[in-house]
Amino acid sequence: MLWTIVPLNIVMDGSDLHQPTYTEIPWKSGILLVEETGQNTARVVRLLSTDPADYLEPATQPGKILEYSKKKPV
Amino acid sequence: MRQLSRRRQRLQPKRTQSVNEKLDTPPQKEENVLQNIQELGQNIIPQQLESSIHSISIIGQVEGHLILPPQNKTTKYEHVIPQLVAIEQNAKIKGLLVLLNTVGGDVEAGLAIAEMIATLSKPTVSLVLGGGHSIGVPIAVSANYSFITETATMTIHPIRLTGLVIGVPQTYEYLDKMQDRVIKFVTKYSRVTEDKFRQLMFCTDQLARDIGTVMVGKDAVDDGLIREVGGLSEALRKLQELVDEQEAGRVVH
Repeated sequence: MLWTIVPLNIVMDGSDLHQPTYTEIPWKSGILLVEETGQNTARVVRLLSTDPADYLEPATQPGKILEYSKKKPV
Repeated sequence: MRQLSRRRQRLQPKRTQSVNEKLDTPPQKEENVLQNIQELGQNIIPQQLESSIHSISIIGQVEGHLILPPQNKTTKYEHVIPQLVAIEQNAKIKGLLVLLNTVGGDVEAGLAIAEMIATLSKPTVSLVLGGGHSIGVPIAVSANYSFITETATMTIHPIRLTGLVIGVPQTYEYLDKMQDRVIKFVTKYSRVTEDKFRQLMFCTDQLARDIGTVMVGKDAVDDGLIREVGGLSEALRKLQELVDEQEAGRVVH
């Protein structure tokens, strides 16, 4: 339930259009849920880890853009 | 005058000498230029000692059980909560500064963050900047000590389903219960009384399109919601004071 001063129609605007595809990638002791934003870049959505210290890492903050290289198929 | 001319004489040979040096050794000059170029584009950041306090900013919408569309700036509770666990657990972190500039958001997520901050054993100070509306209010009061900047505002208004007509009494009761949870929390952790908070919440002559109250800076302090009007330096000073108090073995309230 939302309790906000912003009208609900503004908050929810575009909720039908936004259909992201998330990918899970292993990260240290947990999993990083990312949304692909372009070629070899992804935006961090959420970190799933049981080590609380992982959540203080700058690299895992939601919204952080990560660059990665895909492994070439052997 | 005589003294000045004497100084000039002393300086003159030196100056010519240095010019000659430069002219005689052009390779060194080139090397210097190269070195300069190598150093271009490098920021020199002032050395900073490891900070013993951490800060969390609660910005935009507090996102709860529903992922909000991307035009919203959101604070994700599933990230803030483990961060608070890490802050509690890490011996190097002595205190927490909570910065608020939020328009509200999910009641459950907001209350969860507020409860986590309130039950943290380390000293906490909150600072309301810009706005700390709706569910931002319990988060602001959850810290050991709270500040609001002179120009910041806090809006207190009832919890309801916007644009919906309440059809069954159960819905009303559910909303009322949600509201009671918030009121209970706010009155427990701040000096505002329940009657006063309800009065602020249901005030009819303040907002054009809603009922409630907008409080600017000092108003929030006068009503007992926030402890003091102040900015960053006051908040950090207070936090340091609380950290020192705790290290001296006193209980922080």
